[in-house]
Amino acid sequence: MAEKHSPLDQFGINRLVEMHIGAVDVSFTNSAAMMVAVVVVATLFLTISMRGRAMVPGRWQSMAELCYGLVASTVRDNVGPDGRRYFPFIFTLFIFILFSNALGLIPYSFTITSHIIVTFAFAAVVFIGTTVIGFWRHKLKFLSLFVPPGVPIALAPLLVPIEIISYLSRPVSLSVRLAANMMAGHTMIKVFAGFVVLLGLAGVAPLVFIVAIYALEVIIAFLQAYVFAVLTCLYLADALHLHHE
Amino acid sequence: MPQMEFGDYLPQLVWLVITFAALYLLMSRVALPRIAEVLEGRAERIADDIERADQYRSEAEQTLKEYEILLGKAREEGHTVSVEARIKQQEQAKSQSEASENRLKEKMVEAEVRIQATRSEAMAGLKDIATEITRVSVQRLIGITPDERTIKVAVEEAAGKLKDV
Repeated sequence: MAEKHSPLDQFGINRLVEMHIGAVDVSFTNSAAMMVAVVVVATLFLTISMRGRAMVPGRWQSMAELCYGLVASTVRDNVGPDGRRYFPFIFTLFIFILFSNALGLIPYSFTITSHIIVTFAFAAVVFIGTTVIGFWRHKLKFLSLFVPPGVPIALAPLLVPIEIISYLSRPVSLSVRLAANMMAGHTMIKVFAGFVVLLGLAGVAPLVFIVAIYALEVIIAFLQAYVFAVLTCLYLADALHLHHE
Repeated sequence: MPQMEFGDYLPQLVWLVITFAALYLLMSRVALPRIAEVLEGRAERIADDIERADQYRSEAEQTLKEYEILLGKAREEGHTVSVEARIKQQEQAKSQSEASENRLKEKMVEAEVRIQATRSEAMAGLKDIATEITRVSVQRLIGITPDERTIKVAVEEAAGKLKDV
């Protein structure tokens, strides 16, 4: 029972259906169930809301259009017109993370993005993807990304390693930022929820605090999804345009 | 810490790939085209409306221009007409006043002639009366009936002297 009261317990992976393909564990876990829920809810939200195809949008259609407009303008402003072909991927990434974060805020549910392996998978795809796009587009000239423009050649031996390290740390910062944000918020809520029970009547104070933190978490859920999308756009812009712009 | 359970990584990654691929397909094939279609339709509609409004405005401007031209023309015409009317009126007034002046002059001449005639008539009558009075008064005074010619001469003389005075 003591184990159950750990604030980290909510992040536990439970195998709902044990499955193995050869030696590979492909069990359907609570995380996988939430992933399926994300896909279903996001798809329903973005299709049913647009069912009317109204010239003057209602509330739901407005929200769907806002999502589209937000990501579209982010891609347009940060990447430019040649970012259009990557728009569906960035949109999917944004929606997947947004709904993962948001659905994770429902009590007793599970936050997919609180797991570093999931966010790292996203970050790795973005990192490898942008690197491949960069080399494919600019061949070896892509390496000039590591030489900041307008800097004396004498400083290059110092700056190039720094640039390379900062480039390689992109997937780490990208994944840790999201997972740590999700994990910290949920852990804090759980810890204060424990206080509510412990303090009895005086537990009203931590309860009020939880309400405030929860509101903050709702903002963070959206903000982190947006930050992830924006950074992906910036990395993509680097790969497409090097230092120009 | 459940995040560090390496044994749980693989099932998460497998399902992440599956669900993300599914979402990508659903978004890129179904949801995004639909939203894009609606947004484009709206943008087109707005552009159309703006274009139509522009057209109406230019038409209105054209009409206004035509109206102003017509108004200017009408004003000019009105001015010309009024100027012509004034000139005509002035001419008419001039000829009328000339005519009446002439008539007055004629009448004046006529009147002068008549006055002259009346006066000479009256003068003639006066001489006759003067002659008669002279004859009668001389007869009464001195009892002699004077010669008709002598009286006339005397009257003429007196009249001539009177005229001189």
